[in-house]
Amino acid sequence: MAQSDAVSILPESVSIEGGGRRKGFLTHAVRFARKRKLGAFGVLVVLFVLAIAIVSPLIQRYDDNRQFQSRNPNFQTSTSSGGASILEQLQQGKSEKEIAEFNIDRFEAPSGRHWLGTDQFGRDIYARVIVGARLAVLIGVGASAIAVVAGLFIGVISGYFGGAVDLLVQRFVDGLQAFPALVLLLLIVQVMEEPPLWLTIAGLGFLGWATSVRIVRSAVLSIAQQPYIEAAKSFGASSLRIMMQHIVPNVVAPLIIVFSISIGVYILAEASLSFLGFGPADKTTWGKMVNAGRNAVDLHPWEALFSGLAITVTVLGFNLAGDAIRDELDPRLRGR
Amino acid sequence: MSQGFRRAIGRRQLLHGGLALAGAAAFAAACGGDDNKSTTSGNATTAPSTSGSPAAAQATTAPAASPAAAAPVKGGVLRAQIPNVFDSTDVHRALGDPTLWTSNYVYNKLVMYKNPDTGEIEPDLAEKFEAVDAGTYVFNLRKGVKWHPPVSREFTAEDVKWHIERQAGGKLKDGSEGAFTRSAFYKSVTKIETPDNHTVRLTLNAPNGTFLDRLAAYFSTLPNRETTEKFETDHRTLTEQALVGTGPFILQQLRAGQEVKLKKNPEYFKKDEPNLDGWLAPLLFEDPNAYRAAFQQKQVDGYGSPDPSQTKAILDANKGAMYEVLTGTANTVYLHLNRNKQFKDIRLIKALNLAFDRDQMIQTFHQGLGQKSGAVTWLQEGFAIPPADLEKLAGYTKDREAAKKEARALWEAGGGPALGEVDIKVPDTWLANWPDTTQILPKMFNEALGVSQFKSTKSSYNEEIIPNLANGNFPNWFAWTSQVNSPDPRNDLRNVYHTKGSLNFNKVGSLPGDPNLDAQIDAVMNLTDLKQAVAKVREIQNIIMDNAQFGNIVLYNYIGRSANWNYYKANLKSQASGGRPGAGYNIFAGHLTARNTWIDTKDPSYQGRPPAGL
Amino acid sequence: MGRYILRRLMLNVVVLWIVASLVFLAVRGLPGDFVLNQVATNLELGSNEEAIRVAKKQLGLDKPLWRQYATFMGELVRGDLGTSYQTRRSTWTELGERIPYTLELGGLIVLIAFSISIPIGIISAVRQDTAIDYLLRGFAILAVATPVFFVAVLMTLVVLKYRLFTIDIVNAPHFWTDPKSAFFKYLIPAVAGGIAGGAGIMRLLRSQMLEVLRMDYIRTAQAKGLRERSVIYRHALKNAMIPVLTVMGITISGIVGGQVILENMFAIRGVGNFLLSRLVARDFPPFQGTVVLIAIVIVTVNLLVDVLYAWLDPRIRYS
Repeated sequence: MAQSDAVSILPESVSIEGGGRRKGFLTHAVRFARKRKLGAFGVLVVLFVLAIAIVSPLIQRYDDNRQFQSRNPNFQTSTSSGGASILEQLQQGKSEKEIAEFNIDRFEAPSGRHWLGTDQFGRDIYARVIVGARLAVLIGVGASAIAVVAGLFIGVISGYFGGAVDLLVQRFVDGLQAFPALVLLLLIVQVMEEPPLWLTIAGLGFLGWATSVRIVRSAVLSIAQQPYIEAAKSFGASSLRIMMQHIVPNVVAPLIIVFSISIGVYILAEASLSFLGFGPADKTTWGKMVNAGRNAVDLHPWEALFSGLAITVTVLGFNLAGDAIRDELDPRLRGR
Repeated sequence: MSQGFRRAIGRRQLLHGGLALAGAAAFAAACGGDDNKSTTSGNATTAPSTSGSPAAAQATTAPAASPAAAAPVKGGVLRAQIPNVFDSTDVHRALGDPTLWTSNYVYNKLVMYKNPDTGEIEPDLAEKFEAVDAGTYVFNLRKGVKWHPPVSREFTAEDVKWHIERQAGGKLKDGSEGAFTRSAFYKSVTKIETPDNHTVRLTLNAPNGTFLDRLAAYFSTLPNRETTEKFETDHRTLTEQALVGTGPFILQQLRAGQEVKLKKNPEYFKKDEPNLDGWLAPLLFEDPNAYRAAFQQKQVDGYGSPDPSQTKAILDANKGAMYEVLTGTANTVYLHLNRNKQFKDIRLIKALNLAFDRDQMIQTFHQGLGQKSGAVTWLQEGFAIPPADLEKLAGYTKDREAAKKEARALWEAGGGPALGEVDIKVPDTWLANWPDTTQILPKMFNEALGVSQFKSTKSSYNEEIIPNLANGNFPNWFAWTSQVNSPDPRNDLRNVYHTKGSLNFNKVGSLPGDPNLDAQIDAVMNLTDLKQAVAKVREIQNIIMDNAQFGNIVLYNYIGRSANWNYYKANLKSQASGGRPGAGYNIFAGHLTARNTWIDTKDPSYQGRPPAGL
Repeated sequence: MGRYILRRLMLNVVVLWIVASLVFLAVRGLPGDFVLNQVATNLELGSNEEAIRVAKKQLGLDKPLWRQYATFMGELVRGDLGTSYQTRRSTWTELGERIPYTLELGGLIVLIAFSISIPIGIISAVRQDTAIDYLLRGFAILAVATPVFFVAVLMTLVVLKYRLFTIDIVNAPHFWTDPKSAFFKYLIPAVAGGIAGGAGIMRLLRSQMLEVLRMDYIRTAQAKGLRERSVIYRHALKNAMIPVLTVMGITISGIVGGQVILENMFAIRGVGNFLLSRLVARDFPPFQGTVVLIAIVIVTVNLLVDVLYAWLDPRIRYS
């Protein structure tokens, strides 16, 4: 259904490029903000999250893995505790907090020292939320970029050459889409014992790749039938040249749309993965935080609450911005 | 020797929210206990003790305490988890522990531990047992013991004979080879005589003072011959029909993907047992939070999170309706240093033993819930060095500055600085729970020794460490080795410190300058008297501790915390009372559940518990 | 049309073969091993190596990969989804116990999703740019951005904190065995899943409705003096629903695949929970079999949706 749309976008997107850069951009921005208030709000949220992600080391206050401890003022050395072992003291009804010399500041409520409180390991939730922003952006943008670029390459090749190549690619895409998405994702990230960040991003991109191949391919199919492509072919232009010069520019617009509206989806998908305990190893992600925080959520709600809100706000921002970009580039692609 | 049957820490289980620990903790809570003590805690108004312990009186703190309502109401259906990943219904061939653990509720053993932490043994199927010498044992079997229906015949000496011969022979009924996990142990029985239907006389190929201990351990349960043979080829398909025993409970349901159901055996030969009417063991919760929610809503009677602070939070939020239980966990934390490689010089090992800050690590990793262990862990309280004495030994003292100073001197003297980089590997299984360990360990050693040569990297437990133990090529590594399955440490000591021991990977006794412990270990293995054995083990331990355990450095065992609703009278070593936590048995005590566990329906906390029917 | 369906069916066989091969290869590329996971890690390797060898032989894991693949394919062709390493039961038996739970939860989710999204989507479109439109759209936009597990966590928080009702976690009630208990067990996951699913459908429906309402034939109908209600329901909704169908198809496919997260969180013994636990245990046969079965359902639903499309929208012609 996207074929005719793709062509019609062309003049519009060219005109965006065409206007003098500085003035044009400002004018566009103001017009955009006036016309699409929600979209402008989304863009603001995205900019805010991006800013946090970029400057996170400056504003996170503490290391995200630092365990806060405080000295027990009533600590007694072994001689004053009568030589009783830890176990004996515990069995006398003392809590480990009374026995230990240092206590981890776990489950603290928000305060001046810990703006959003501490988690079960005494780590600062604020620092972890800030660090999580960087990962969320990296994962969302990275996965979306991979999906779009891979989709572009394979979609163009599949659509342009057709025949056996096309058949093979399409069946493979069908196969991938017949997988339950989360299961496929689990299979990919579990290939390594402790999935590194890039594997998570690549896995997410691999999932989305199938969708963008479809869009690109159908666009290519319709463009390939246009008279000017026929003409170019008859003039002996190489396949590569035709693809690069005529086809690729025409599918850029739908891909920008796909790219921008799916960032939020990838952030959510990663959060789900992390929530199930299969997220990138050794990294502080919001999904992991919600999962860790939901233990005893009725007693210590802070971690789950703030990390969950962070996901929601970020995804909301990306979704709104993506929607606005879509509406701007092509109103008829709305709702896809 | 195959009896050193070790508990597994499946990496998948750990990955999955520490399920293994959660299961073990809840399980310990379900299986610990002592009937001779008070059963009250918090402000519960009920249940004075069965034996009139004075603790009962002190424990009732509720204003509304009503002594009149105090006659203990025993019975009820327990709802607590049983680790339920069963790999076989044949206890002789089961590789995983769940089958063996469960068999302790359904089967009996010849003898059993009176208290699994001290090693005292009492009759079970054998009403009398005697060690003629360390190589000859005579058992007088109880008369009138009946197998569960449908077998229902009497238990006789022939059953014992078959039990031993099948495992020693290693063959199935059709003559094919079977993988019998403990065949090496039963092969040590060279002669089985059954002068009459209720007497068994066993002769061993070598004196073994721990023979009775092995027979009392949880893996020595006696299955029924007819049933076992009937399900022999199909032993991996779970069905309650395949486990017919003589024990306190009859297995009513054992099906894949379904809860385990145990029903009281009305004809159990021990009168007054079991106290419970039944036991419903729900499927393991795949989500720790679901487990917690189930407990809060009284859908399970006990709970233990792998994170003790979570359990504490629930206890604090339900003061007066729940009680706390502390149980030592079998996971012994070690530092293994390879004497075949960098740590040839014993002074270097001594230096690291001193440099390791046991107290701090218990704080860092276990929130203070742990206790330092010597060569024999404190879990095995009958044999362990008492805590007060342990505190005087190198590496266990509170004076860190002195320890560091000595450590530095030893490190210098042993040529430590010349070693270059020292890598302490940490297995993936451990890192799944404590990911920061690779930063914490080198920091501790570098700081204590005033060097910068220590580092720590991740390793694969199953691929790098285990396969390289026997060939002596293993890395230096830190983590738990799940060890403790019986109160008697003699087999483990022999395995690790005897020159012929199967786990003597550090060649203790063979390297220059080593004291040879063989003669002493052989001597202690010959002792059949528990007191003598304890004294002799202590002597051997002293030598081992003086040598920083020859590189197999036991550090500590941590403590699991669980919470039980007050109405749940759990199988505990000591009951909770007056705000003091109860103590679970450190070592598996499932065989005591029948005696010690019941549900007190009169307890106020019982209000709102959903009914449990079998 | 008949030929089109036939062609699609044949293509689907190819797709399923690809799915089966992919999942077969993928699981074998994973680290970890069922037998090693099961066996206690025994330091005395002598006795265990033999046991491991025997266990692998019994499970057919000692055979070369291509033999295992041939066995798997042969079984699939015969409609056999394999036998679990762990429980030694056929995947069909296992699924027979689990599918009802997934259908119960899934049915509720679909019910809630549709009953939220369809009326709200219509109201929002018809009352475009009014306060109620903003409110409902705001809700939908927020709901799409909120992770389903976060909604579930928040709801659980409230229920546990104020002890609103009992969520049966230990038992596995069906609606036909214990309706009350089942209702409370499924309430939170169904509402959380329903909101997440419904929000997407609602947004799509609203934009489709708006577009259709601008179309000439609606204008014509209005000009002819047809009642507004009739215009909206008979003409606009029918046409607006066409693209929405696709999304519904996806929603249903997702449910068949199992609400892995929700089932896991609430200890619902459904298909999603089964898939995850089999994967974690490296119990390949039931995992493979279930994935293939889900793929069959997904391609069938997709086919049905396409056929429905053609039926609803006469402009679409398949060749």
